[in-house]
Amino acid sequence: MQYKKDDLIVKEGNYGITIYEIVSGRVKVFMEDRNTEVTLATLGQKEIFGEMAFLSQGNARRAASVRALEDTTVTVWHPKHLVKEFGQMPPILKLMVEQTLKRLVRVNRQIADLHARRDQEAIKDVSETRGGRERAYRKQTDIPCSYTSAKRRSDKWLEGFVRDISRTGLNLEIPDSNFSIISHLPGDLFVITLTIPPAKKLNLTVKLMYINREGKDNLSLGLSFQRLKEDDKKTLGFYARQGALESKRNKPISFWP
Amino acid sequence: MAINPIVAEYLTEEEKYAKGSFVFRKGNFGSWVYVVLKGEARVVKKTFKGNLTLMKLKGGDIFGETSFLQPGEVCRNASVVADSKLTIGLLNQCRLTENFESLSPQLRRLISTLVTRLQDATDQACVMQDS
Repeated sequence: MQYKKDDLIVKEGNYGITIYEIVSGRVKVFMEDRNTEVTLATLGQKEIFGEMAFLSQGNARRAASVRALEDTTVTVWHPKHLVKEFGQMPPILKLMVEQTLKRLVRVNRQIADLHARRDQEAIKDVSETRGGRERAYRKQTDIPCSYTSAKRRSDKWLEGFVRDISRTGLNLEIPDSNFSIISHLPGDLFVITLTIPPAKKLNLTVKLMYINREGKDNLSLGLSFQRLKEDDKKTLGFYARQGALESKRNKPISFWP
Repeated sequence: MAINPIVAEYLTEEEKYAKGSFVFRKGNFGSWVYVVLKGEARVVKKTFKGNLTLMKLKGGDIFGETSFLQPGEVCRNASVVADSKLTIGLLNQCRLTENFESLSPQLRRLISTLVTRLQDATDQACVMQDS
């Protein structure tokens, strides 16, 4: 089956036990919380979705919605033969599946709640910062760094350059080739390791807000910090406020004729 | 302690733990499945802000099953620590494995996908809790 970008494939709350497998393309799994779409996961080739409703015997309501992020092709499993097999599964396994499902539903709701709470706080933060004396200084930099997906299973560390940084986020320049190695979609979370000159090493969790093209072979990622230790906040704040004259990207001031 | 008879069938050995000791830690080798017989425990994950409690376990609760349900995943994803004097029962790994392998590859794949979802979602919630 083919879906176009932005098509809604599965709607939260609907009845259905069809299982989908992505042949090509990408989708986002989300829940609606007060008119915002809270992304729970981004899935790509060879990944399955729709399995939760099937596995919850009796309650075949979709736990979340799924929307195509780009033109996507899926194969569809009509699990009629699986329904019978599922019914005959050893009871201990049914128990374990039931437990896993309950926990997953609970965690997803937690995520949706945390999102809502955080958006509220972000709005509060912005209005407080604008009114306050401190502005978010964006400092131009040239710091090499490594980053990877914040997801549990990732072991692919990629390289990039931090082009500017402030107390709230940073801009990361990466080669195009990185884009296909791990998911780089707005909403994705990453972990970045970098060293703030002279020698302060930081491990930061960031969320991808936007992507821009940067020249022929590079992309620029706008990333916002997701959790900052007080210590790191101070380090970044201090670093970002250091004089613009120190930036490598500015033309050096020449005192010699 | 009322243990589900379905679970009781699989009980083999018992293990005892003192309050504060770990049944297993994240990264440990093992995919054994346990049930709490007596006492309380919690499932925790280390985050930047310290140990985050993912779930509380009490009598009758099964744990350790996420590593079991994921073929290929032999490491623990989180740690389990005793909140009181704890007695747990080890479930018959042979029989469980037989049961799981008797399922069709498709069904096994669906179940593994579900477990992966739970682990990814838990990670995401942990990261967000930290902010």
